[in-house]
Amino acid sequence: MTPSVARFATTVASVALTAHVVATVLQNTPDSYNLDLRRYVAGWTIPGWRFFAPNPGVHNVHLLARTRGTESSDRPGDWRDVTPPTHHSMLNVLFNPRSRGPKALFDAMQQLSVMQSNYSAMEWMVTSLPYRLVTDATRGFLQTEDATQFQFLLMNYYPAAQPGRRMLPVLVSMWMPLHLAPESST
Amino acid sequence: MTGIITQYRIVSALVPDRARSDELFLRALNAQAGLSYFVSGVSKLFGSSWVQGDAIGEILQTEAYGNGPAASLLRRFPRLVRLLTWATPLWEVSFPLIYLLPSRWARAMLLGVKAFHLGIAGVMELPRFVWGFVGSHGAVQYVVDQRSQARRSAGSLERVTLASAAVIASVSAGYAASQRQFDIERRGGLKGTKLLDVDDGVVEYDLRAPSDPSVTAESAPVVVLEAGLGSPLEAFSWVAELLAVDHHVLSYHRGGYGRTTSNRSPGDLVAALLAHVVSSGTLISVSHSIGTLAAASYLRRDFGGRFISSAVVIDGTNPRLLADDRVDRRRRGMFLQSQAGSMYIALTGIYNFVPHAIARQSAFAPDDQLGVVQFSFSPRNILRATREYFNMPLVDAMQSLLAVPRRRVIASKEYEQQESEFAEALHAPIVVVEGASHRSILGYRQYAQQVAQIVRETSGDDS
Repeated sequence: MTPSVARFATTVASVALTAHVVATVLQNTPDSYNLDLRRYVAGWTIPGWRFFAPNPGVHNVHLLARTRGTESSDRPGDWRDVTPPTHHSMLNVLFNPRSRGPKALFDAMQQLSVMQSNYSAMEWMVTSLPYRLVTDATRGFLQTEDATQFQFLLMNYYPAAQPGRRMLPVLVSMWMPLHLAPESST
Repeated sequence: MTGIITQYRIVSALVPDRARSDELFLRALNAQAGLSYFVSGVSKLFGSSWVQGDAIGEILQTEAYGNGPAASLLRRFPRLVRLLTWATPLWEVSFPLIYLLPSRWARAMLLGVKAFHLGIAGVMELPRFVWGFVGSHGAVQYVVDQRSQARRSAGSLERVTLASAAVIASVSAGYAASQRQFDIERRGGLKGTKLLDVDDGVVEYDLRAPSDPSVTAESAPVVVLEAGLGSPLEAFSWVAELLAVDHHVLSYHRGGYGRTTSNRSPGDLVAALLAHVVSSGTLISVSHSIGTLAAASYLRRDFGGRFISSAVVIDGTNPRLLADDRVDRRRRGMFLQSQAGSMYIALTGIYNFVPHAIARQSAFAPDDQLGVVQFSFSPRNILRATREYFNMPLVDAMQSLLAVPRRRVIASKEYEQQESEFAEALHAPIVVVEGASHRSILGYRQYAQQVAQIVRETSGDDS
């Protein structure tokens, strides 16, 4: 490697890491403001270090679902809690890969809650990644059902709140087909 | 943190000189490690439930983090949980002190931090923090050792990072201060607001006369607008514009807000301003949010032989609910947290660069939009709003509202339930503006049109 190439590589690496650290400093403001600086570091993900702060998540998000037949006039079934359970074990202290799936679903549901509280239009929400993720997960949980359509409901539950203020319905989805037609290959 | 370690090692591997590559990697990783603890601590100090000692106890009641055996055991010692809640942000904020310690003391401190991560893993079953953060401690120790051996106190990466952050923050804060000053000057200009001398200072106001030539100005109804907590008179600009066709429309800033320097009561200021309105028409009060309580303080007042005949309440604050909130330490804490957050972004000027609720929920004409945003993020107005929240008189507010002959409640969809109860207590009909939020009910023209229409109907009932 020629000295000039070595100098160039050193400069690129130093500038990149410094820019990323600076962007991390600026993005990690005390409150959860959406200061997205990724565009200034070529899309590089910037870590968020505000763990459980300023307002820690103190609620459980429950995924409820119900199904019905083909006709819109069909009476829907009752809402059922299909939230994936959290597994507990002593080994979780060192290795807990089973927490990733429920965490991803929890984060998606959390994002939908934020959209709903911000009065996002339903037409926009149904095209969002979290909505599609929750839809797919719910569809997966209901695959053995003898029905053609389903709907999900997100319910926040605050265990530390006063009785009567613990449950807060967040979002009811549209009715969606339970079984997707296989994609035809050409 | 695991991802950061991997990414930084890959990028630093571009440096051909091995020693320089390691130096760059370790210093960058150390910066992230130090930042992670410090930022986490500072953010927690902005959180009401951390400051009040509730956070960990509440987290331990969730299914995701509180159902393990260690969490169940810890929950049996609420005092210890409260102590841990307070201790956590304090040690996190103090983490940068490690760079001042001798090498072996720093090692001991890092051992304590490792124990903290193990405790988190055990109680909340979050092992990935152990692997990621403990993995970064070697970089912290490296930097501490470098300083201890007097080789270098800070590398160029740290110096450039701190200098860049300081310059950007200073420029942002300076720009915000200049924008706020610009808005104050705009208010003093031709398209701005007016000032009226009262005994102990001035009151800032805006008065619009009926623009329709077929309306007899001398007998046109007079609408008195009362804005919400920390809101400027421009928050009513759509409503004022729509009503000013056939009404006199008066809006003003209460004592301490904007350019108003008088400390006189809202009733005194309104009386002084109404004396300058040349109309014998009926008086209509239109108030938003906590402005309803300000209006309530003068609804039974005699304004030179005239009384307010109608009160239109838009997402009004129910005095009973505000009284409850003031004595509930959690709700009081959440309010103060919100004000502290507003003050932080006001002083740093972040509000000029990031989306915030005020800009998202309003779409005024450019001058008014600027006025609303800069006013809302003025440190002085934030302090005034904080005081007003606790000092706004509540006694007799309901009686005053009930004493007005005609009452209407307009609710945003966001406040529908709360306002329904308020309307019932006021024995007043209610109209819900579909799709509107607490701010956008005034901030979006299509919602303001519905509000103005209801005020106009009320005004028509009066005449």
